[in-house]
Amino acid sequence: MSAIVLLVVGLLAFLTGVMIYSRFIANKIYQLDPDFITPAHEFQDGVDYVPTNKHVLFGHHFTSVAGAAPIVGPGIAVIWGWLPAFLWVVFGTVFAGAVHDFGALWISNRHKGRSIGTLAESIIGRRARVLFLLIIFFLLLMVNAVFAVIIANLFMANPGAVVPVWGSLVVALLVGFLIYRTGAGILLPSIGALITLYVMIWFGEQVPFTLPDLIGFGPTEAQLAAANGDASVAAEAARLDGQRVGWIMILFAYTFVASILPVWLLLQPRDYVNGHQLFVAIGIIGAGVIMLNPEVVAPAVNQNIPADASGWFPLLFITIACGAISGFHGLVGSGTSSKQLAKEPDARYVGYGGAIGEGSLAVMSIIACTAGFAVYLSRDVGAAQGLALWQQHYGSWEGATAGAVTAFVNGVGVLASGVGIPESVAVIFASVVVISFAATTLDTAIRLQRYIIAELGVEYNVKIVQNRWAATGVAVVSCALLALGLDRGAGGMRIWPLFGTTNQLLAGLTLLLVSLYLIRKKRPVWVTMIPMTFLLFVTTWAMLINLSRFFSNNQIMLLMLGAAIFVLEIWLLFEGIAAIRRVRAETIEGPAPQSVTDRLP
Amino acid sequence: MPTQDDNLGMSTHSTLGSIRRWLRAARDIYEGMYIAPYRSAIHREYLRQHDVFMLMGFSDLLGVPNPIQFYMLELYPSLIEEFHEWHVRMGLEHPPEGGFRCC
Amino acid sequence: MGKTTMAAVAALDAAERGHKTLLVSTDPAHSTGDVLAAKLGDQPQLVEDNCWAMEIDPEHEADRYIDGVKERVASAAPPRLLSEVYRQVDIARVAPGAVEAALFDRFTRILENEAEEYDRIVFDTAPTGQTLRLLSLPELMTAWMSGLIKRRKKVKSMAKMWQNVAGSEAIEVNETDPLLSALEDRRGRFHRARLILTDPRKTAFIFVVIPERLPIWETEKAMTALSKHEVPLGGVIVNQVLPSPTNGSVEDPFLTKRRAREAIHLARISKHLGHWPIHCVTLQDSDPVGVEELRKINVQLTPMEAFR
Repeated sequence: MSAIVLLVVGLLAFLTGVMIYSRFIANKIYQLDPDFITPAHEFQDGVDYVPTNKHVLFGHHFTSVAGAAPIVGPGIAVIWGWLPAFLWVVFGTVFAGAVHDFGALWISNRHKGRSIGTLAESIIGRRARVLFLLIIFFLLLMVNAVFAVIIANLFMANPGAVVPVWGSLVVALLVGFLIYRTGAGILLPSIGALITLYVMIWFGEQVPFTLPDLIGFGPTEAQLAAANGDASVAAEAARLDGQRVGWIMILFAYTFVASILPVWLLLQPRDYVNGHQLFVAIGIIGAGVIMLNPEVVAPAVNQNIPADASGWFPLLFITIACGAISGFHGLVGSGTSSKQLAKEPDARYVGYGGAIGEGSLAVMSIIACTAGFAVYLSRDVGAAQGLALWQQHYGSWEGATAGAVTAFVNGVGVLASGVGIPESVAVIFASVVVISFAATTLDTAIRLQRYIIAELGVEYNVKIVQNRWAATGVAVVSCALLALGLDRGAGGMRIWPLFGTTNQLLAGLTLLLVSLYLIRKKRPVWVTMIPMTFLLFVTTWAMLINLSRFFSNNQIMLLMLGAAIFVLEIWLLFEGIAAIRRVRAETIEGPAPQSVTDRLP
Repeated sequence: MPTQDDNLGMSTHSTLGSIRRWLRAARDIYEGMYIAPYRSAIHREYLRQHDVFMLMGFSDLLGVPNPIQFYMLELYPSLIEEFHEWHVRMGLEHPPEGGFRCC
Repeated sequence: MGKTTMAAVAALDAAERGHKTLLVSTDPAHSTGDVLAAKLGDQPQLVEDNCWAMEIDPEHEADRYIDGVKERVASAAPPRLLSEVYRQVDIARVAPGAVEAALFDRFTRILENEAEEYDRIVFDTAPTGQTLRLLSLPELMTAWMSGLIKRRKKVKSMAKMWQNVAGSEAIEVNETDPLLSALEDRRGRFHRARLILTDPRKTAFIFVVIPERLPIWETEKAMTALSKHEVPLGGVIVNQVLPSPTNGSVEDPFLTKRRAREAIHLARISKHLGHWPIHCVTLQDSDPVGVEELRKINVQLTPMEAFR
């Protein structure tokens, strides 16, 4: 299979989704009305509610939803072969993810630009809002732990990325200063920043930085056992643990500071500088695929699934959340973008289109991990041996989850060499891209978690966490404990499926809200009900498999976390069934009110 | 229901026109990705600072004693417009009782 | 208690010693004019060699302040808002503390404008709670003003940054901010007033008290409050002390009893206010009117220790 074919088929499928399915939904199901007065117009305040040009809004929405997750998920899921991952990404995006994003934007637009959490309260009830807060809490808890582990692993695997990543912080501050203070415009400082960043990537390759072993862990029993009594091997493993723990702690310390500073001081210019990498990365991968046209050597469907991995069904669907369907997008769509829609029909382009963009990123990740990475592995040893090495890399679930980003980064390195960039530099470039994505998510998520904790504090009357510093402290420490608690961070990626599940749960909740609204409007409801039912079905099944595995492996922390999420899942299930019944009954009995919120006092 | 033919800038009359449209869309997307968030972050910070300033100046309207309440009077001439924007943004369609009724 | 009389005495005394002196009264009942047997107005007026006097009407000051604000509002505010702003300003005019605030504003202006002209300025003012607060508060007000100014500058710098980022979409930032200069002007006046009020080489507060329980207690309180705010205190004048009994004559038992009572109060004064110089003046048989009679009072001023 040629990588170009995969890319073209994927993009064509997405295009079909945009041209046909999204139009069908827009016209027949959501029935977008160009004359509807959007919240952006109705409540225009120049800050949150601003009627915005649809392209500008699309750009904003897309950068807000795109992250490292659509890279990591597919990078793990190709363990079952590229075909299941590819199909789920394509069909999941077209029929579930994009419909969900589009729906979140639309329903929020129809309810004064309110966010999913508020809508859950007004449409289902107060309990649903608490459910929503708890889902978000766990989602953020896990995303922070996982991304910190991913970044730490990347720093260790590619020490050349350390200098450019931290250096870009300084550059960002400088750019911010230039733009804010001198009125130098935005263009020139940004070009300067990009050049500096690339110089730093080159420079970082020359001066790789390895964290000194500050912690001095001794080898654990498991490490001794794995080393077959070879003390030096076990000691080396323990030394790496020390580095990982060191990086994770540094990252959370940084996050603590970054999430307390005003956004505009550090994060905004940093996102700005890093954000350009997204363009460049997509461009390089696309051009690299076309120039090199590497063979997708990984099996279409892997017949030799490693002993510690389950079959692709149903775990695939919680391994790839972002990239197929992600509840997180609903937060962006409902909280922010819906307040800026100039015309309701723009929701199709912004919401559906944004998810398609994310799906494309996931397809590129699949190609990088299955084609580019295999070329990388087989360079010295030949194609046949390369495939064997690839299968060795994906030879265990543990290895696949921990190595997904490595596969992506090295795969991009190979693809980039197709456009003439030295591979060693390109690997660092790709690492910087993934790290900046993950770090952006980390900052935003800790900041969000702070609000969620404070809000839960209000809900349950816990005074102390209503304080900003305390809430941030709780957010950072809980995430750090989770990350470090799994084999000193080495097992941090085991959280990934739980993260995926929670993300799907959130998507399920949003789809439920859209469905309820459709029922009330007496419109066909299958467009959202089928994805929702499917999601709840596969996640419940996958969770049961996961829980039994955590139990038999005696993984207490994961078991507890999984159990909590499972409870939320069941809760959502019951809440959903009850709400659908009630709304159905109300809709049949009485005349449907114009809007659900009309019933509110 | 109107169809959304031009939603993605797909309907074209001439090649040149369509290229121009695509370029404009690309520029706008870029704007939305990087520049618009930048602007709104600064805008928000400006408003935040302004809110604190107004709160300090008009704290007496909220029942918080202001030792220089009387001397704030001489600032009224320059504050009227800002005051209006402020109380609207604070979610009060009409200014708090005791403040000037500007609308 | 004879504040007005004592202020006039002090002003005449200073003038007599060759200091060009201004007496400023804030009594709306025009009592200074009565005491000096002169018709006084809002502007300094010569009443005796080297001695000028004026009477400020606090209500009038408040009106004038309000009118000034209205005038500037008229030139700045859109016409449709005018009546509302006026309404608002009129409410502020009758708010508690407004009169004292306006009075204090006039004080600071006199301190600034007339300090060059005169060697001494004698203020005759009532130690009401509000006045005391204003006298002792320039520090707090300066701090409050500084906070506002700091905020305002931050607002301005954010506006500037916003403009740098957003160009014409942002609000317009004027180099000069009338609000900021008004704030800085006000803070400067508070600050300078504070400097003068707390400088022992320039300022002294003199309290007039009569030997009775309540006035003593009030004076004690006021003096403690002012000294806590580092306002220099010049001393106390005890007015209306009973004259010494005439030798040999038999005194009315009422007076004797009264005198005994007074002795207790005087003892209390010297005990509690003794850290400051205390002078006494005896009770007069009639209200002194005119420069000559006032000068006689001056001669009668006797240090407390020397009294009796």
